[in-house]
Amino acid sequence: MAKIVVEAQGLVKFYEGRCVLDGIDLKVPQGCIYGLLGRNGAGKTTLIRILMGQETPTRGQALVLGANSQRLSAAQRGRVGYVAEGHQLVPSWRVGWLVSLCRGLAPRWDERFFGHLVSTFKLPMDRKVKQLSTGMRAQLNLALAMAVEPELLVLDDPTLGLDTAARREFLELAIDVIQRDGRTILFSSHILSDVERIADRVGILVGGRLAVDCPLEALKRRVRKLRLVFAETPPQRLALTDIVRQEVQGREMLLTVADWDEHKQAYLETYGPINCSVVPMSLEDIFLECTSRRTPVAV
Amino acid sequence: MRKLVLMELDRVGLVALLLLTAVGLLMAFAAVTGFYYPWHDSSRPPVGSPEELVVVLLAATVVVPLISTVLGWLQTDYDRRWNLTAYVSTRATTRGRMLAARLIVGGLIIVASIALMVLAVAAMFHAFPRLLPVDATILVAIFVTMLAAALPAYAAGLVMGWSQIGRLRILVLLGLLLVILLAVLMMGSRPRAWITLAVLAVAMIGWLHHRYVHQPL
Repeated sequence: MAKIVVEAQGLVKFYEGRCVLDGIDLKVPQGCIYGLLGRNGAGKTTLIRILMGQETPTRGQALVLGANSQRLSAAQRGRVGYVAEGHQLVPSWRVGWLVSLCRGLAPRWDERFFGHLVSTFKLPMDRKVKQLSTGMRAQLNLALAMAVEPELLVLDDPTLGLDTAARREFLELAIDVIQRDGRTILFSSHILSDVERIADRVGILVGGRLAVDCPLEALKRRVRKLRLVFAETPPQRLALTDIVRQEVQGREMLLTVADWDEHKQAYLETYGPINCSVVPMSLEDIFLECTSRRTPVAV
Repeated sequence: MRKLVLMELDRVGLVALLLLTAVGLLMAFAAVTGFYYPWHDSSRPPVGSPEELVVVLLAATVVVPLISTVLGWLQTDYDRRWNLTAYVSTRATTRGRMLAARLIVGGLIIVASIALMVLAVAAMFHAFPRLLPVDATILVAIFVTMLAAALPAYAAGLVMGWSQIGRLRILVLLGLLLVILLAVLMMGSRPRAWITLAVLAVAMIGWLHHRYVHQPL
């Protein structure tokens, strides 16, 4: 059984009386690339900030590399690479000084890899961080996070503000990290095609709850969108569990169902549709189906 | 820890050291010139009195804590404004270590500045023993009091910088500084005053440590 690198146990977070995280239970095994999805304000950044010890949970606890995220030692932090949302660095510092500080603090530092990234991104060491473009700050942030040879890489919407080429470069780098043995990545993103490309497990946060937490392939397999055509008006209500979305247009019904299996298929056929076809779904489609619903179905 | 100490020095250390050293030298210079106007001519009778030196040093006992407050405020205000801790604490360190490095740098700057003043006065004593008939124990007491008052004032500056700046908070902290100075004036340069000030400094640093380590970033 794979070692659990990140674990959340009943995490609850309230902000000024508003529930941002509502009992999150999450396990990320070693070597996994976990894509955390959710609409704006769903709680992704809060969850990541709790995992990084920058925010305290109201209830529950988070474990990172087996230790409580609120009490990580310097050595444990040295095993984690983190890229915060918005690429917060220290704007008033020169890039060279920032690099020197990070290098000095890190228990491990891959100078060759870092040098390669610096030359690839053409990062200027003599300029102040605030003089860098958003893209360059993102690249610098990523290079600093990756140079420490992290066992766990946590990326909070790392491609935000990057152009297509820079995003592609980032993904290639992420894949490079993935290929190194035993590395785990937890990342959040709004760009679902990126998640689809590199994640092997996804979690979808809806209103502070983890509505989906399963391998990407299983998600695609388990969530099924069907186009049903009936001879007459389709039935108003289907006695079927785990319906994510149901839409009727004339004699046609579009039905999205979670945990799809042959039993549900057989049951659906008892309603007598004259035609039943599967509509292919991308991760984006699944995401939209899951998040547009008021009461999400756990998948 | 070495890197964190260097980081602190890089930010405010040099400016603060220059500032406090300038004050130290100024005070020493004022003490020398104010004490004996024709101090290079040993044959002339002294125009000043030994109390003048004490008065100048007592003034330094007020000025040094005020500058220590500015030093502490600079350190934490810079941090808060530029999200320094928010970034650095995600690297291989802890907030406790960062605060320790900050206190080491601030403490060293204060001690170094007072030490410079001590050296200036000691050099003066060594050069003109006949012209400075001041009891050395009084001067030692003043310097210890200066240090004892500077530490809680520095801690107050740290707290002020880390908190969101509000007029009420500034007023409260200025009131606290006034209490420190009044405590010195009322208790005098005695061990009881030093202990009171030390307890005050430890209490404020303890409170800051709690806020600094647990505050969401």
